[in-house]
Amino acid sequence: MKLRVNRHELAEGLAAVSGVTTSRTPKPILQCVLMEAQGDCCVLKATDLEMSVSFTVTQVEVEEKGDILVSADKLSQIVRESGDETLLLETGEGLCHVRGQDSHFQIYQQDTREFPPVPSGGGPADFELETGELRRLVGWTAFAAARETSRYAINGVLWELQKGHLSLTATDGRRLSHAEGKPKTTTDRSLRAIIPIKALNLFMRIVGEAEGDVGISVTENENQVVLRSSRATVTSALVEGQFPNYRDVIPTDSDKQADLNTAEFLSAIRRAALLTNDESRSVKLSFQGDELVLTGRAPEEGEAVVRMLAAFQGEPLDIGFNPVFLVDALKVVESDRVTLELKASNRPGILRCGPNMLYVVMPLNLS
Amino acid sequence: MSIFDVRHQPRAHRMIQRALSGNRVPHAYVFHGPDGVGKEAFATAFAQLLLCPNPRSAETDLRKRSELADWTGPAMDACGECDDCRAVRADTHPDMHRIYRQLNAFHPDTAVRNRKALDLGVDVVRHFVIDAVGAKPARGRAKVFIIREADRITTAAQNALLKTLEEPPATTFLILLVSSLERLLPTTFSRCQLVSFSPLPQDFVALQLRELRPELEDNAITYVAQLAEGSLGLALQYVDDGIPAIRDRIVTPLERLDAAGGSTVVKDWMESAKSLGAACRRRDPEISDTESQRQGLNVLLALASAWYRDRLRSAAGKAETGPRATLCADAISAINTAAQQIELNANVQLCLEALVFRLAWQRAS
Repeated sequence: MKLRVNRHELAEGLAAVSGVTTSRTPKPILQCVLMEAQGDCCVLKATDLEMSVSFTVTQVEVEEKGDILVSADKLSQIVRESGDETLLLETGEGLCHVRGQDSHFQIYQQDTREFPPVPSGGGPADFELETGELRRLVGWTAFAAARETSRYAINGVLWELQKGHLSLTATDGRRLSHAEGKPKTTTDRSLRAIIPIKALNLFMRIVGEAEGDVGISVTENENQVVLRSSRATVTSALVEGQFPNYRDVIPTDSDKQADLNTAEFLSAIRRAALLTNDESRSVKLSFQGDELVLTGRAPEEGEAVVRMLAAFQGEPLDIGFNPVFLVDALKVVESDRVTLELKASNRPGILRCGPNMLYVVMPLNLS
Repeated sequence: MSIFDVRHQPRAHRMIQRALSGNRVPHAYVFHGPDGVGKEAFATAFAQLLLCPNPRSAETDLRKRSELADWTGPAMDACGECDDCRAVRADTHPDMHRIYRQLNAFHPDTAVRNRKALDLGVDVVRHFVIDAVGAKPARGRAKVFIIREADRITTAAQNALLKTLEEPPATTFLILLVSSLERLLPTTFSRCQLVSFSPLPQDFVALQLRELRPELEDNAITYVAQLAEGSLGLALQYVDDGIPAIRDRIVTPLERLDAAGGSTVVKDWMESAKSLGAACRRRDPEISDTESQRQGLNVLLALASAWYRDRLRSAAGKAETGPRATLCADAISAINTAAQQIELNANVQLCLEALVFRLAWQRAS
């Protein structure tokens, strides 16, 4: 293989695949990046066996087709430290030569046949989304997913596609967030897949805003998901298990509603939360008329009271929430106003942001 | 490798084939038995069989060879040719997870990485087993976890693993390899199908030694095969530690042991134990000084005990049994006592002194 490549492009590609080339693995071949020179581009591939990335580097002059498998870390360092506009990469006798204007690096190659196959994710996507829409949907849900619990199924975001309608749901057992969206194009297929957070985060990091649409598909055996943009493809094993029946959790009988300014509410919760601690984690929200009073109390430390305006309809109510759960959601809200729907102090509240996004959060005991 | 290359374990073969033919393979197995008799080889071959997309019926001669001759049901084996089989052989199959205590060196948390891998801790089990179980298989058929030295899983880690052992996802199989079942919690092994492995016949060990270490002389092979007590792994380890050469240095003094020379013998033995311990250390750099010394001493005492056992055997064949046979038997029991004391953390020097003087005294009386 022999190719000339723009250094910035290559650096970008290596940064994209470095998300899965871990420096610590019992199998050293997984620390490598596979470069495939084909036609007028070069594809970088890396995998950690659970997740794989391939990234197409353009601005490449391929003089001779072929593959190279070298340590991703070393190649990145070389590319980063070089000052040249372009670099020449060439293979020969088990070595990969990287030539700049005044430098020549030789890195030992690994046997490309030993590299685990990276799924190509070819074929048409099950549905396509605008990048902005994907970012909105994932942003609203991913934070609520559980991390490292033995209930595997909630360690990811549930994606459901039915009759051209897409919904994303995540929960950790104490709160649940749900977002609905509309794919740009879709097939007839109905899907129900739990995608790990790691894969979503990695894909969101690689995909730039300017890239237009992204395609998402699930393999036939329903084991793998393929997330594809124009330049990058991330494939990942799906999460095992049965996602809980979340529709039963979303209350439908709330009779009290508060309309709140997002930024003010976020700031008020943060301030009231300053005087809470591990033993008394809750912030009390007292709704009465047009006023919301937030109270935080830490034994032996003190008490915080924050007042704000709230358009509240219904009987006065005191309810306690874990401030962290509210802050998590309010941080990703894009609209100016949110509504909080409540029933009683021992029933979950729903935070709504527009018609397509909702967040259910369990209250804490106030006594 | 074919699953039938694992020899002299008819019970294990039968259990697996019965489970496969009934299409009711349990999700968790405990393979228990002495070290070095083929548990891991069998587990790997079984994993290959579970991952292979087109397993085939084994040929008759293969079945016969592995003591399954009277087994009437179908006997399955991996095809050995597909991509999955090749990947298992190369140990790069994405759905075969080998878990061992030294994996902590690859844990994302620095504190866990810097720990000494004395046992399989809860962090390693959580990260490499419990989290990995939650992902669907990469190639579609199954996921197999082989947990080496599972009797060194800490209690906390065993408790963390209970839920996974009880109801893993449908395509997940866990195989725990243990040498002593007592060290597993009852809650752990009651969730698993137990498969026991027995020591190998001595002549099989000798045969394998001849093949694997062709440079070895005949009498060394016989000696090591006898000493290893049916464990091929242990026999190979003895050979690699140079036991045949070291043997004379340890047992020759026993022939003319007296109270006067006792302290020299103790000194010699301490040195030998140290060098044997160093060999254990090379194999497993994570073990502590005391543990390596203890392992060295165990080998040394096994050598001494074997020497007396030989004498006992030849004495038993002669007409004038009487004092000499009892002497040997007493010596063996004295050695066993010393081994037990050392296992219980007694002072090694004192233990050896007591043993040597007792042996000398027995000889004199």
